[in-house]
Amino acid sequence: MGRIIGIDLGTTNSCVAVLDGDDATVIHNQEGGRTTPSMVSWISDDKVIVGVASKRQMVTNPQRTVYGAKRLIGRRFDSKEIRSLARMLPYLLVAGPNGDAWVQIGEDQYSPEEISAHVMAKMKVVAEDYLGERVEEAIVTVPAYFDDAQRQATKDAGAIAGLDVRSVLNEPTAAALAYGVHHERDQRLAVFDLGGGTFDISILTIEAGVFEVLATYGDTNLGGDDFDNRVISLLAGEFEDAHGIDLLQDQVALQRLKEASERAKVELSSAMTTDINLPFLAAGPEGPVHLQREISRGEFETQVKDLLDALEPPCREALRHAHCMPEDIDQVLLVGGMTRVPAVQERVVAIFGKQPSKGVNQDEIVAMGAATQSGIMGGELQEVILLDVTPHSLGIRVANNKMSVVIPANTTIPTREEKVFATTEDNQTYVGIEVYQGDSERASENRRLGRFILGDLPPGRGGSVRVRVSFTMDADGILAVSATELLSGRESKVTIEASSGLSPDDIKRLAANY
Amino acid sequence: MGVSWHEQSDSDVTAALRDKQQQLEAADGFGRLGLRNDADTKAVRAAFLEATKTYHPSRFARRPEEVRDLANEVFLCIKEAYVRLSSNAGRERERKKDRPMKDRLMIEATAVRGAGSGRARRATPPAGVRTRATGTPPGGPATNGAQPPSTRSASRDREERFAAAVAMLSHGDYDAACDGLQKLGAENPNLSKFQVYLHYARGKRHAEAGAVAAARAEFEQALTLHPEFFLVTKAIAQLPEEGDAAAAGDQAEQGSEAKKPGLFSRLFRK
Repeated sequence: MGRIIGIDLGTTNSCVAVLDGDDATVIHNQEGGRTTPSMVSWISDDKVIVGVASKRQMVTNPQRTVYGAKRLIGRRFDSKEIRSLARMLPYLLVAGPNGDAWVQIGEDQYSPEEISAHVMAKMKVVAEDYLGERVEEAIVTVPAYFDDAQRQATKDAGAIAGLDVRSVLNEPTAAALAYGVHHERDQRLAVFDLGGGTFDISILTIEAGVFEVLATYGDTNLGGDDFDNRVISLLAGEFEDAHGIDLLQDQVALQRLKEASERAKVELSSAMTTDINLPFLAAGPEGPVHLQREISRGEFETQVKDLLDALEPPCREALRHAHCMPEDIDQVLLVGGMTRVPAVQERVVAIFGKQPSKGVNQDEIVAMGAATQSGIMGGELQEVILLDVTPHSLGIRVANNKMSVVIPANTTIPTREEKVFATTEDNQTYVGIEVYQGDSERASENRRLGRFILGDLPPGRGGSVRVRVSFTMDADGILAVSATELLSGRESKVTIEASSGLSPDDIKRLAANY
Repeated sequence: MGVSWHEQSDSDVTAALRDKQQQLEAADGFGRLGLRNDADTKAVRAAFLEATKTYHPSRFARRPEEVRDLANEVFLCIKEAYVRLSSNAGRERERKKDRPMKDRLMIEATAVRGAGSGRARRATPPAGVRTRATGTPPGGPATNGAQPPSTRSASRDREERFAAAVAMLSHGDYDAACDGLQKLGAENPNLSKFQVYLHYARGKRHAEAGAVAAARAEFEQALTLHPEFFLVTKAIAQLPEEGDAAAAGDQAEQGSEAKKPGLFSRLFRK
């Protein structure tokens, strides 16, 4: 059996690590970087470039350079999140043949799975060069708050890249594992993970070598890119007022703005002011128009205040669900590049009442955790084990579009739960079981995972025919649902496979390119 | 430490897991975790953590599908026992395992009826009450937008709320039970049964928290209203002498505050 590598497939940057003896080691790419930008460009001759090479030319090739595919993966095109994203992206979003959000490059359309597969394939090559052997299996991390469709799509991206994704691991859990494996003490940890596109907060206990997640909350639409977009909006707004030109319509200008905003955000983490200098940004009636402006940390913090505020409620929810007060948390781990921003760190201190741990590399710890988990699965690490949870409620749709929860959010997995339901009409011949994932009380606002039918019901008055529905979620997060009519024992069951995303044939076809 | 699965073949692992599964199915909750039935929360948790390190499905992640499925079933069995035994009320129920919960519910409801009003009625928690694994029917699955059952009479509503409160009592959810009973008592001052049960629920709550004198006082109040209430006389008989080890409430356990250690806890503490 070959090695299993750990891949942190980030919104902005990706990282790959492997277990070397007892220690997780991050692997450098060919350019010497320990992380690789999650960027893919289509240049002429149908050639695709990935990583640093893609980033280097993004300003001159904005419509054919895709970044942040993680914000698209597993999502439907017709959704609020995609609509608001599309405004600020220089590349074109379209509805794919399956209704998912896809990207259009020239005449061609690509799924986010395919795009992420290019990044994963690069990480695979990086690992193979270092190890001197073929790599076929990986553990890939995802935000803890990712739903079933997003997880499945991430696995599919791996499959396209020629990797068997043995486990999809939650990023905060991975970070806690990498941290805790070297800090023997039993303790209660909070992992605050703010990356390029997503926010997760997880609370775990480490006790007798068992890493148990108590609660996990977050926001899959809150990350560094949103902070950048606030600055972009500020600059574009001022520019339009001054010159009557809407920079958001100009893909090259938009890309330059994005680059400048990101750089300013990073610089303001250590300086109180910085310059934004974009000569020849647009063409006006009297000639070229430039943008030159100083921006202060205070101004930046004002622009992003609502985003900073949005970090708090998930943290409070997590503490409440874990039956913890902030004082009960022994350590707060910061994960993700955005936790370098002083205003973010101040919020963490305000919520948890303590300074976060500085001993953790925010950019690499998740990949290291994935590599550590490969050691648990491979048998090299006997002393530790992970007990994770399912982050969203699972249930079925009942009368009045209500969501009847069978497995509540934050239930430890694997798990089995059952609930008995009754028919509502006289002499119903079948029940339609629609399985949903999500935390809204209205079923239609949640994500439908699948649907099946239990037929041949015995006749009976509405309310007297009882059906027991059983949900089993295994340790990999795969859900199996069965329904049994209690009198006759008749049963119907289904294993939930993604009802959107790519088909196995699609995946096979795309994988042939590698 | 636990068993090392790493070196064992698939067939050896399968055999070992099948043995474990049989052993688990034959045992009660305590047996599944390798505990005596006087184990406390700490012991239950420690046993679960050890079992997790050995039997968690990730240990078998690289094995064939049949082995992984078997490992899932084994771990589910262990975890289910842990969930059942994590609270005082849960452990108490497990010890009395020859009296299934459904029957106890019937008996309590009958006792109330028999005391004053007539025919026995089966208690069923209504829709909206948090149900246990062997749940009850709330609304039905929607096939064509059917509406839930129409208007109920006020007395049926009251009886269902009472049954729900009694169910919460047996689950050990004393706060919710007291709340419900208090409201029912206030709305129906002429029906003494709600007062009786309210005193009983408060007494149980005090008993769980170790406040023996306060519990006794509540139970005695219940008896003045209804002298033959067998549940209360049984509860009084069960009241410990001062400082029993089992006297930490569910809510307190979750906050894991240190409770005054009683005589027995000092003997059993590691």
